[in-house]
Amino acid sequence: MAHIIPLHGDPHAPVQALLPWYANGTLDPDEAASVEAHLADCAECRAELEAERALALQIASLPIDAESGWASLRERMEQRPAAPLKLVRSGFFARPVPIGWAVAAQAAVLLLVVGITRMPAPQPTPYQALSAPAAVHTGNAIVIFRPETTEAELRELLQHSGARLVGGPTASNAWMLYVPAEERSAALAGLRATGKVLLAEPLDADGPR
Amino acid sequence: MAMNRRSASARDDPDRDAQLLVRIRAHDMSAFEELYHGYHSRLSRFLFNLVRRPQIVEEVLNDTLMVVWDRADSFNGASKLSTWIFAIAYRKAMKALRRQDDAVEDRHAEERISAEPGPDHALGRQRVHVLLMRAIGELSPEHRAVVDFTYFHEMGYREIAGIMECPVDTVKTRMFHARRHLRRRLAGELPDWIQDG
Repeated sequence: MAHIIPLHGDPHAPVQALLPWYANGTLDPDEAASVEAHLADCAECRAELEAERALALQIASLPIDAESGWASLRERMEQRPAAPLKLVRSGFFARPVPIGWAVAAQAAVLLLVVGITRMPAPQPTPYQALSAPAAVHTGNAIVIFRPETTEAELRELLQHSGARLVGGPTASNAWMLYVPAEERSAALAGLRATGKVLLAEPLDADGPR
Repeated sequence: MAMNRRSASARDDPDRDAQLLVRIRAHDMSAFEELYHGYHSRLSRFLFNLVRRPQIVEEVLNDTLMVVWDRADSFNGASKLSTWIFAIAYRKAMKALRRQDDAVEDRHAEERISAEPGPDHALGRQRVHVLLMRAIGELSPEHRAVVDFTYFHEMGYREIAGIMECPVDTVKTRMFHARRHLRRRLAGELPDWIQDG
């Protein structure tokens, strides 16, 4: 709909008020038609439009250098204590889990996924895509041990399950494990059965993407 | 190289955004990374122009994207995803500005304009850019936002009003005053621009 109503008897003002959006092509067809009807008849407003376009071009081409990085956002996600408090059903879990642990585990998964991609030696490239293959075994399971678990117990649990520690602990005290694919289900079930883990779940980095 | 506005607006791809959002809702980190890269340059430019304090640009930008990650469920599709993200960024930036009201304004913003090596013509262009950055810096954040949304991000005034949560007439009025100010400050340069353009 057209909104060009003469203001204080000045027929140019309402047209000129719309010129920036006429120039960037976002007016609706009726508005654009009204502006064009006026422009056809008004050299003053045509000159305004020229000036408008020149200004727009200059501002749009200001080479503003405001670089900041994905890496720093990832860093921050690693550092924050927990994700938002809401009931979540993470894709990583087949069943609902208590909110605190769901949140913590989700954060841990995030942190670990992020952490793993950063583990191979420093790259010359500014960032590495999360889906890029890592040079070493990436974790394929995540585990959170009960807080009272001792280091000796932890070592024994790992040895017994055939899992290898490849990352952690994260801010949420989660660890990333690597277990040969064919043994993973059994290893995780075994870990859960010990009662010494709060969470032991597969991570499907090698699964379909 | 200067980014031109065509290339900026060309990246607004609602279909791709919608697909990414579905994946982000499922907490797919690679989708989030893709969204980050799709929006980073637009948002950082917008924020830099708005707050003009490099030290808070990154903070606000990251705050904004964290909201997208955390609250992806709350986006109801009533607007474009880009409008929603810019609205978050705008609110966060204004909040950060209010917090830092007593902080020192970045008086060297214009010096950070990247120099493009080239003949006199390029030097002249750079001089214009410096003048323009200074003139934009004299506007209020609200006026700067309208200018950048319109000229760089090529948004319509209704979309801008939605982002800034103000009446459309306020957007038009802000734009009117901003243009008048910029053109006054750069009066001598304008004829050259028109020839260049």
